[in-house]
Amino acid sequence: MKVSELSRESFRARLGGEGVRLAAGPFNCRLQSGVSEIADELAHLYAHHPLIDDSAFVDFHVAIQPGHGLRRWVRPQARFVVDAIEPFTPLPRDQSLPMLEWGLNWCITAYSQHILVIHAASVARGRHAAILPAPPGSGKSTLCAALVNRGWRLLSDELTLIRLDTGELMGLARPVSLKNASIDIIRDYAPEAFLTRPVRDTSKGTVALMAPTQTSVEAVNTPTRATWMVLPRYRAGAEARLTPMGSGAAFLQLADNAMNYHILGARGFAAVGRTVDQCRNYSFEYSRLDDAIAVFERLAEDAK
Amino acid sequence: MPATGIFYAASEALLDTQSSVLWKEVDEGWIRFDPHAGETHLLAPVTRFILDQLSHDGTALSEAALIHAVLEEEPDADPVECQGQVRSALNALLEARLIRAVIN
Repeated sequence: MKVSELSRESFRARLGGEGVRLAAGPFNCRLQSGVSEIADELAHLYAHHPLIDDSAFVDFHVAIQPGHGLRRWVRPQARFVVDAIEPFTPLPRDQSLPMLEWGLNWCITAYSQHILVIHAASVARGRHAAILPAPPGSGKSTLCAALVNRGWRLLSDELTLIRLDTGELMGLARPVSLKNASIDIIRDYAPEAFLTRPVRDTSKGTVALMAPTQTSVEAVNTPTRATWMVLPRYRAGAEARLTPMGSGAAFLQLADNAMNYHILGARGFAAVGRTVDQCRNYSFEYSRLDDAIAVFERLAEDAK
Repeated sequence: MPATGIFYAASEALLDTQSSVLWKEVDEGWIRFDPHAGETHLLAPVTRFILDQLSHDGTALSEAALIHAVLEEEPDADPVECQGQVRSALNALLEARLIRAVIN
């Protein structure tokens, strides 16, 4: 059963009660919230995700709860809770939904030492995946969202997961976090995509979340091999251009963006090494999304 | 800046941890990963060669000696170009604190 098969009332009741139990790729999550106004958008964001049995093991028990005491009424706040712990300071209540996503990212990063976790987007065509590591402001999420709305499968917008044993990528297919100008860009580029209302004045500026496509969620467990490592950079007016990158520079890019490379030690080193060896590595400059998509389509064609 | 009269030797940290260091050959040369220090470096081939020359307890070599060692390994190399590469390598290794300068 999928989240979208729950009635609106049932979803709200579960969210405010025992929690909505769903699978996001390899992780089972229980989502609860005493902030009822996020329910409808959350249901849209996770519409295609499968619900899991009450008896299934849950990796992360997370909740967004209202602020304590006066903070329920005066400049209301929201708190992120995981396993009864609050790892963050509260945020304004209207940031509840982004906070839930940021909190889930934190859970995966903090508790997943059995896989290599890289701060990067990743998308796939068939069994071939592109890893897109890049610093904030590089246009990574915009490019990722555009690709996902033009036939590429979303593996992840923020955290790329690489298995240590096989080197395969594990998909998450969770919402894409769009920031500032990219929100309107993607609204125009993919009017059919579901985006939440923009939340202003967050630490990342204005944020809206885009729902993953149904295909992405349904194929999330398809084994996928990293085939390209592309370091994207948006530059106004630039022609879309791939520039080959040496495997040493690519190694450093992946290692620098890996959240647990040092914790994993030799296993992390081996996983990064294997990934750069099996990928064709590029830096990529672009300005127009259609041109960027065409470049990625050519990559996919060449991989057939 | 490295200069004549100064010798170069492995840092203590390098000698302490080199048995656990992992290497990977890449397009540009070598990736060196020290799991103890949690440091990853990308080294050009000549830089790794120089590091290997200095990775013995008690060894201290001058820039001239290192250039000579490189030219012995690569007899066809241009000596002037070689000098520049050795200087760059020494600077990179000093900056990474893998080696130290010793005043004789």
